[in-house]
Amino acid sequence: MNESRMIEVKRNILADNDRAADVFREARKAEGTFFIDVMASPGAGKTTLLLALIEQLRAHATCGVIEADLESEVDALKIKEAGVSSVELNTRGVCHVEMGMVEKALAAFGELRFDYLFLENIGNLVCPAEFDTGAHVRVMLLSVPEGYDKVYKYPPMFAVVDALIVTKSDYLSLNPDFDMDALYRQARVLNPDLDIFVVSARTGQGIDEFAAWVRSCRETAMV
Amino acid sequence: MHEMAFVRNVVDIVVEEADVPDVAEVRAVHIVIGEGRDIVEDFFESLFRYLARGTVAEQAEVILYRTPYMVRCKRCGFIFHVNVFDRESLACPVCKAYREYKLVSGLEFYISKIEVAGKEPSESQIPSPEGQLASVPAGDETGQAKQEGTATA
Ligand SMILES: Nc1nc2c(ncn2[C@@H]2O[C@H](COP(=O)(O)OP(=O)(O)OP(=O)(O)O)[C@@H](O)[C@H]2O)c(=O)[nH]1
Ligand SMILES: [Mg+2]
Ligand SMILES: [Zn+2]
Repeated sequence: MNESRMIEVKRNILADNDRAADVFREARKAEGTFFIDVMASPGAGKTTLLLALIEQLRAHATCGVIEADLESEVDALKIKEAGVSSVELNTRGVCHVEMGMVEKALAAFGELRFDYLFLENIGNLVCPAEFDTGAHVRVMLLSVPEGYDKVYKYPPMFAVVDALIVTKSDYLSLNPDFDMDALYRQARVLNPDLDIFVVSARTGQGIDEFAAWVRSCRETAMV
Repeated sequence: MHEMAFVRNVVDIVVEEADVPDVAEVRAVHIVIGEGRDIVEDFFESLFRYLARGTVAEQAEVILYRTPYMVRCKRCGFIFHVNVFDRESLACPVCKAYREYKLVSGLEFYISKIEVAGKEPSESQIPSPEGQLASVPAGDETGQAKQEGTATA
């Protein structure tokens, strides 16, 4: 048998996707589009929150939504019914969104460009966190009915996001065991600078604050 | 199921790196994966077996190193490990600052090195297409061999 030797490689496995994400981020910035990735488990309230948020933003800005879904077009239609531009990104069963898909989705808008572009990521707390989507900020939603103790089950998601949005806060009175203090504490273990908002699309609680944060992030990112 | 996307990239990178004139096969692939990366190790390996079929890496052993969450203290700069389940571990061991840090590792995911075997001596004495001798000594661990190999490309 032949002697063997080592070849130093030191190459990031996701380098191609990361590079494409950086290029995408810069290109959107250059055209004045602020891109936000919204991640959560199924039914956490992503579409509902996006509609409430866009309601606040659209008076002074243009908004578009990329709806990533395993199969259907339901959410994209819901967004369109509200009079907001939207394209469907059907991943055909793939558990996450990669840059090639994001680029295609943007191309599907044709010449349309927006001040705010949102990605409603696949409903899943594990896989989307592993892939950079080219967004300027990433947020994660956790709805009150899901329970507060998700941090230990999905730590990477909490580590990679810029903000955690606790949704469906109107359920808090029905779920007295939802330990908000513990959630704040645990969510900041890997990410001490994490911004946290508590909102309800039903009652409107916290939507103003969240919208203000989104606006200020855009200002920061666009300079 | 995102292991598929990961392993596809692993195989591509390994094949590219092993594309050096005197390399006959890849014997091992060393991969560093942060503890925060959601990877099913057994699944990763069997996928590698499957996707590497027919390449120089088809016989390669996959060696995974898991690296822990490490943070850098914002007050004193000390780098330490945090255990997500242990509150005590969130204080800097040097200056005692509590949860004042930034995550510096635990999410990495890269191929650190590959172990390759050279061709039989008779084969490696054959001049490469550029007319140079592919006479890289076997067992060279300095990485010099690779540089020589790519310099001719
Ligand atoms: N009570 C209450 N219900 C809400 C709130 N936000 C959303 N919902 C309800 O939760 C359900 C799911 O909301 P969606 O906005 O469709 O959730 P989603 O995360 O987009 O769901 P998928 O895209 O299917 O993963 C719907 O019945 C909403 O009406 C809220 O703030 N309070
Ligand atoms: Mg939805
Ligand atoms: Zn310290």
